[in-house]
This record gives sequence, structure tokens and C-alpha cells, in this order.
Amino acid sequence: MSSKLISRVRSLLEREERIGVDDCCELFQVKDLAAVAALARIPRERRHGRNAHYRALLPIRVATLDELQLLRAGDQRLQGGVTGVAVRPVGPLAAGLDPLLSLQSALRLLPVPATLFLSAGIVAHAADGAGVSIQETLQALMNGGDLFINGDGAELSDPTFRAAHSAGAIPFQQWIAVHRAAHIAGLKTGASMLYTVKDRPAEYAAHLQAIRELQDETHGFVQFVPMGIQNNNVAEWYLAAPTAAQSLRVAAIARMFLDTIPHLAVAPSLITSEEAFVALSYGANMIDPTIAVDDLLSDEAFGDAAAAAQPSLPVFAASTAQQRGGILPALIHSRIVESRWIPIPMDAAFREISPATILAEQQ
Amino acid sequence: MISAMPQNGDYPMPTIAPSRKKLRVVAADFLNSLPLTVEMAEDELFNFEYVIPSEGARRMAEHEADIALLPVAAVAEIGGLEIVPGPCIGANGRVESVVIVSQVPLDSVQRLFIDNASRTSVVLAKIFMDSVGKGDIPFIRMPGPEIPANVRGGDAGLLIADVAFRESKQFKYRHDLADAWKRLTGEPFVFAVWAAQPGVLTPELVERINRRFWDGIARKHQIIEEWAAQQNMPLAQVADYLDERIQFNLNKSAWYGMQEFFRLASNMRLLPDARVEFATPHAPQNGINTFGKFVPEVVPYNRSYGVDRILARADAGRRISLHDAERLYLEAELTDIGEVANNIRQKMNPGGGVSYIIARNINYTNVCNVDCGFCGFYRSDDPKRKGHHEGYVLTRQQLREKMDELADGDGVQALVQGGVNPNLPLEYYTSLLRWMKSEWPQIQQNSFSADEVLGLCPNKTPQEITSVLQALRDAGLDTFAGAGAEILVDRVRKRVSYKKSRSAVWLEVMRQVGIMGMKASVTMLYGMGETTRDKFAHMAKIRQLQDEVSPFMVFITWPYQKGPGQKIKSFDQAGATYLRVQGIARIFFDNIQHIMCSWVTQGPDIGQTALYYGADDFGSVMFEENVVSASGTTYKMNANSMEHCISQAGFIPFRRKGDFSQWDPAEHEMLKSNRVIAELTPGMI
Repeated sequence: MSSKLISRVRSLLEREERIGVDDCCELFQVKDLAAVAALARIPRERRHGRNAHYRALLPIRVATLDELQLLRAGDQRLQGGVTGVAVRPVGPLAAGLDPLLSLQSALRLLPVPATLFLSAGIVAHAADGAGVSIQETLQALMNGGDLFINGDGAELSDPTFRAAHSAGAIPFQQWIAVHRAAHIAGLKTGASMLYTVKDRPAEYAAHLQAIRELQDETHGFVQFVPMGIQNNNVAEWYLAAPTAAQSLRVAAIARMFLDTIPHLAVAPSLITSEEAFVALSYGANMIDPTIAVDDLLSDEAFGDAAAAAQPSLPVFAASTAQQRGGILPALIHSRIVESRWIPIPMDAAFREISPATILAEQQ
Repeated sequence: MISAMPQNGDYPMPTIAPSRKKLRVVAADFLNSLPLTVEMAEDELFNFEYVIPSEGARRMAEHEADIALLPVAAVAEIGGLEIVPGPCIGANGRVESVVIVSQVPLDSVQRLFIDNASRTSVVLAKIFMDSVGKGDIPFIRMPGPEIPANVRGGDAGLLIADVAFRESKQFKYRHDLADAWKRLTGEPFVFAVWAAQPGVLTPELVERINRRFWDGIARKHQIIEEWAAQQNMPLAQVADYLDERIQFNLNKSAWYGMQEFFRLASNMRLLPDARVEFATPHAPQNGINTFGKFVPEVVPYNRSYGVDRILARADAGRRISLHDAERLYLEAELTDIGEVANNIRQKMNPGGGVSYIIARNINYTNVCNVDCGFCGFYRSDDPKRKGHHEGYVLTRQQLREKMDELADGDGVQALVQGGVNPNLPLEYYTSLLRWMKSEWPQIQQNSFSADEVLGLCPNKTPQEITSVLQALRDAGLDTFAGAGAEILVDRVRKRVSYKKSRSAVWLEVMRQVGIMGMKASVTMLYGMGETTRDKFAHMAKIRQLQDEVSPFMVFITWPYQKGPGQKIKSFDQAGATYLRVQGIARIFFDNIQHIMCSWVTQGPDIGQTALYYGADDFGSVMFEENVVSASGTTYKMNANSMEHCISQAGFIPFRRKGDFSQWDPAEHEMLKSNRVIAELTPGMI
């Protein structure tokens, strides 16, 4: 079955035709990862050749305006080829339109370009809180400074999954509505999908289909990010997160299915930084360090259950430590070169920028 | 050595623009090579040196020579070299210096003794034996001069060079291999050619080498006279050999003969899939160059032999050369390497099983006098050195606790390894092994590195090495861990670990392991600033030794990771590079059955991905690891997590023993019941 599926999909991809939801669902069940990777290379290389993009940004979370003081004073974190910051508000700063607008005002004073990264959920809550429409909220934020609506909160479209695992997220239809509104307003946004250690082919295919339908309608998604998620409700720590094989398979299939979204990005913080560069050979074309991990994979989120189960086997603790240290653009640049791709740095708006700054840091 | 002659002034030598450096030229000073080399040795353009053939091959492989008179097997093994048209060492019929001898007809021969000093002759012997229906008899390695005395009954011997001249006539049956080749193919056999690194040869240089060759031919009678006198050989025999037996022209027929040799050797998986490349000084006119010599049509290497073809041929079971491996590393798509590596892994270890083992490292001492710049684990035995006071030797009680912990976890293997501690005699090791074997009989000993053994061998002779290994085996050593290979290129070893054994010595330890019939693992530590060529020169040496005496069960590689206080800078750290190196290793090592992934250094994610890049073994669960973790790497996994990783990748996990066979709980319990507990005194080591 799998060889027929592979040749059918290959034929479709070579003719630049779409693969269907059923094909997508079946591909998630193919164990031959090499075959899936070979398929994903067709659309990946057609669109991007040997280029591998990355955003040369420092991702930061900000809960109070005081936290920007360090950045204003020339924070050490702005070294290593960083050409801008991606600011994600949390806590009080994320709780309403006014705090967001005041944050945008403060960001204009920073010595480097700063872009406000918001999820659809924050936008929806801000609109609710201010008693204005999503469109008006977005317009106010667009007037306030550089803005990017990332893919956070898409989770999985399946209602059962959302009820069980993403109770705090806005409903999927509302997530779609925010992104649709942003696209209509002229904003490019990101999309994402959660995947788990338990394979969910049908749910993944349905979710990807929903994303593809909106893209067909608006052409506003500029990036898609698969996000592996920890599950804290298991006793065995090693069952908490998807394995590398699952991550690579999801990236590859998403690349094939989402034929109209330009960038298939992977987050070093979610799949370990080295695996992210390997993913460039499995359909991904972008390394995006701005996909913040903390909400999904903080020490707290990692959970007591996992720690208690295997206190002496800190595999994920080790990788979390690596994530916390972050990955600087200069290192991303050199790893892309070492992985035999051509590095293309980008800013927050997905514009190519000169690699000179990053290369200078490498020297 | 042949005495110098005044420069022949009959015709002008092609002038070559002075270069910054003299070209490094090497060749063997065998009788049959002297007409090619005697004038080259006197040419001021060259930094010429006579070396044994294996050293010439090594220098070309490691880019320490520009031009070499190479045996054709080495040309194929290295790959990517350019051959100088014109001269060669060949034979168009009987040669008398490469002979298979026996006292019984070939039909009755049961074993063939071979001298691995000449790889080309051994490959030729295998082709010949296969052609007469005896390709499946064992080939036993033996020093050349010892072969004649051992050939009796159903045994045969391959005699080469002087030994062939002196001894072959005493045997009832003699098969001249060049003559046999001529009968088999109708073409001459080519033993050696001038080969150059890509880009070295220019039209002028090719012409100059050919002029030197013809000048050398003109001195043939001087060579004959002086050689006969120096070697105390009959003048007539030497003259007959050079005048009648050796063909010095690489003509069309010889070229076809060489191509046929490469084709047959490749088909029989004896040599990489070689493709002969000639330097073309000038576009040949009607196939004839300026010397009136045949020059075959040449297609430039890079256009004719893409990485896709290398991978396709490897996928079909052909050997790849050192140069092919280098090109895969530099040019091939990562997932293409993975696909072929995975196919080869499925052929070599069918069934989709991935093994793992319950084992533990026991670092009995961290005291070491080798001072490797990449090691964060050792403490010097020199009291003046920093950290000396942190040196330790574990007591028996401490060791017992570790072994008991391993036994409680159903462990089957201990990897006892430490520094090269000059204070511990051989008796320490034998006593340790005997004690461990008697107290934990179910636990196999896969222990010690080549340098630990060499630390017990003051003179480092093969006999001494064998004696130490024998003592360790008698005391209970099951398999030899064989760590410390690092990169088997001395230029690299000298830089990163000046006091460590040189590559030839390390290989000699492993050669003795193989000769004794023991099995070992073999490693590669890359990322210390070595060149791409160095990585694959390392692999080539391992593959060649494996061809000779088969000591290796498994290959493991990982990148050096710089930790605090380590002097050597790290390179090639990407996980993608690790997968690339391991995948190429699976493709390259057609004679090593298992590839183990190094999740300990790479983490579970890359470790799991490595299963798609040729690995069929996930290594060991980790009770304790002190050496890699001294560089800051802290990954640990248990059996459940390993099985999860393996099965999630679509493979079937199974527990194994030290010899890679499946673990049998019943056998394990039976062995455990033989335990004898020794009485220990406090502080005993």
C-alpha cells in the first residue's frame, strides 16, 4: 500500500498538483521516513532550491515595561548577529489593547527594530476587553508599530482534542477568524499545528486542510510551524513528547500538503536545535528561533510527573537547558552552512536582510 | 639504490615554471620499478623519496604526496587520482614474481596463505582462485617469507617478489598469476602506475615524467647489473625479469587489462568501483599522443561520476573508494545518503531489528599519562600538574557496588576503561578481570583501549602486544573495546594527542586482536579540525585492516565536544554532519556488520534519526558515563525509553549481548548461578 501511495503522491507533486486529505492521512502512517523525505524535497526545492531561511531575531517575553530597560541599555543578548527583537507580551502586558499599545510605544525607543508578536488568542481577548471588533483591534495595533500574528493557539482543530488538551485556547473557528481578519487587513501571519507523541493522522489531516482552505481564500499565511507538545499526564517521561521521527514526518507532510504557504519553519526550541537543521532535509526551509517555547515547555509545564518518574534520567531537562540558552543567528547561520544549505537571514516581516551583520559576528 | 648518471643531454627536457614547492613524489625501490623511478629520483623538480608501497598509498590517501608510483589496488581504494599515460609496471604473460605454489593440484587445495604486503597481488589471487572454482577457500594471512615453509598438504601459498624468485621452484605446482590473467582475459596485467592528485598534472609534467621514464629504460642494463650485485642474484635472472617479463608500456591492451581487473575486482566486492582517469597532456590525435602512445578517451571525473552514481553503485553492493566517500560528504544530499545507508543496513542486518544492550561504563582510573588535548576526564600522574590530586583508582569495594548495580539491572556487559595509568601493572588487570568474571559470570567484559594495552608494552612489539592481549583474554576479557582510534592520521594525532599511539601502532594492536580471533569495536572521534580527507583516510585504514584480519564487530562515531578546560577547538558539531558521517560510514564499511548510533553524545533525537542513517544498534542504557559527560554532555536513557525511540522510528527493539546476539534471560540466570563471591580487604584495588 505504501509504495503505491508514495508513487501516487510523487506523481502529483511532480505535476505540481495537490495531494488530498486522504493521501495526507495515509502519509502519516508511512514508516519509511526516507521515502516521505524524498517526496517533501520536491515542493521544498521547487520553492526554495538550496536556500534555508532564518529569522535573525532575539525572542523575548515581556511582562512589564521595566523589563525593556536592559535592552535599551544595549543588552548583551543583542550580540551574535541579532538584527531585531521579537517581543511576546505575557501577563499584564498581554491583557488588553491598552497595555499592548503602551508596549508598542516603548518598543519604538529600543536601539534595534522590535516587532510585537501576538497570538490570535491575545488579539481576540484584547478586542473583547476593549469592546471593539477584531478588525479595529488589529488596525490599532498595526498603527502602533510592527506587528506579527504568529501561529500560536491553532493547536489542533479537532474539538475533542481541544477540549482535552487546549481548554484555555480560543475556539479554532475564532482562531481562523482572527487570521482571516488580519489577512484582509493586509497582515501576513503564521499558522501552526500541534502534534503529540500519540500519532493522530486524521486529526492532523483535518487541521492542515482547514489551514489550506483559509490560505486559498486569503493567501495571508507566510509561515507554517509544526509544534510538538509535551504531555504532562503520563507517568513515563519519555512518552511525554513526540520523537524526532515524528517531528520530521510532520514537517515533511506539512510541506507537501500546504503547497501555497511559502515557509515551512521549525523551531529549534521545540525539537532540539540540531534536529531543526536536520529538518531542512525533510521539507522545512526555515529555522525560526522566534517561536517561543516557554509557554509550552517551561520547567513548570515539563511537570512534576515527568521529573518524579525518572529523576535520574534528565533527557528533556538537558534539552530544555539548551533551549533556555537560546540559539543566536550567527550559530544558526554557521549550522545551516555546515548542513550544506545556503543561509538567508530574514527580518520579522520575512524580508531578506544582508548576512553581513551575522557574518561579522561569526568572525 | 642505483647510482646516479650524468644528465642526458640528447634532447631538451620540458621546462616547467618553477613552483613555490617541489612536488612530493614517492615510489617503491623494487627492481621492476627502477626504470620508472631512477631518473625521477635525480630530477630537481621533485622531492623524491623511496618508500614501501603501503606507505606510498598512505601518503597519497592523506595528501602527503603529490605523485606516487602506486599499485593499482591502491589507485582504486583511494579513487579520484589521475594516471600518467605512458609508463607502467605490467606483464604480458608470465612474470615469475607473483606465483601461487602448492604440492597438490589446485583442485585439492584447501587453504591459501597470503602475504598482505601486496594488496594488488592478493586481489589478483582471489580473482584467479575464483576463476578455477576455489574462491570460497580460506585465505590465511602470513608474513611472506614464512609462507614457503608452511605450504604442504592441501595448503597453497601466494609468493611475491624475492620470495617467489627464490622459493617457487621447489614446489610441484606453480601458477604464475600474470600468465593466468593473460589466459583469463587475453590482456596484460598492470601492477602499478604513476598516479597524481587531481590538478597536479600539467601537459609539461606528464611529458617530463615520460622523458624520465625513457631515460630510465635506457639505463636498464646498469640497473640489472647493480641490482644483481647488490641482491646477490644471478645476472641472467634479473635481466630476464626486466627484459622479458615486465611490460613497461601502458599501451591500449594494458589499459584494457587494467580496466578488466578493476571490473572483476569490483564485481567480486574486492575493490571499490574504480574508474581509471588519465591525465591528457594534449588532445590526442587519432588516439596517439606526442610519444606515439595510446591515450584512451577521457571524460573528466566530475562530469562522468556524479554522487548519484556513487550512491547507486553503493546501493547495488559495490565498494566505494576513499575519494567517493569524500565526495558524498561534500556533495550528496543528506537524505540520499540516509536512504542508501538504510538499504545497506537492511541487507547487512535484515529484519528491521535494532539492538541495544544493558551495560555500563566503569572508569576504574582517571589517572593518565597520555595528555590528550580533547579529553576532559583524565588527571595527570605528574604531581606538578593541575588536578593531580583528583586522580583516583577505584577500590574493589567501589567496583563491586558498580557491578552489583549493573547485575541488579540485568546488565550483560561491563566496559571497563580508564586512563593509561603507569602505576598499574598487567597483574592488576588480569586480577581484576578474573575477579569480575568469577563474581559476575553473566556479565561480559568488553574492555580496555589500545593505549591501555600499549601502556603495558614497553617495546610495543607485535609479540609483546599479543602477549598482553593473551593474558587479558585468559583472565576473562571477552571482547576488546578498542577505543582511542580518534582519527588514524598521524598529522592529526600529533596535534590533538601528541603522546598517544601513532596510527600504525594502534592498528597493530587491532591487527593482533584480529589474528587472535578476538572481536572489538572501532570508533572515530571527528571534529577536531581534521580535514574531510582525514576522516575517510581513517575509515579506509579500518576497512583495510578488517579485510585482513576482521577484528571489528561494530563501528561508532561521534564529534568531539569541547568542554571546560579542554585545549582543542571543536568543529563539525551539527547533528546533520553526524548523520552524514554515520551514513557514509555504513556505505563505506561493507565489511563491518554493525553500526552503533551515539545518542550519548547526540541526544535521543539525533540518536533516533541515526537509525535511518545505517545504525542497527542503539548502544547501551547509561548507568554511568564519565568521559563524554566531562565535556558537559548529560544525556541519559533507560531501556524503556530506548525501546520507545526505536519502535517509534518503525524498527523492532531487542536486547542483545556483547557479541550482538539476542539476550537470553534463561541463559543469563544460569550463568548468574555460577557466582563466586570473593572476600575483599578495605582499600583493596
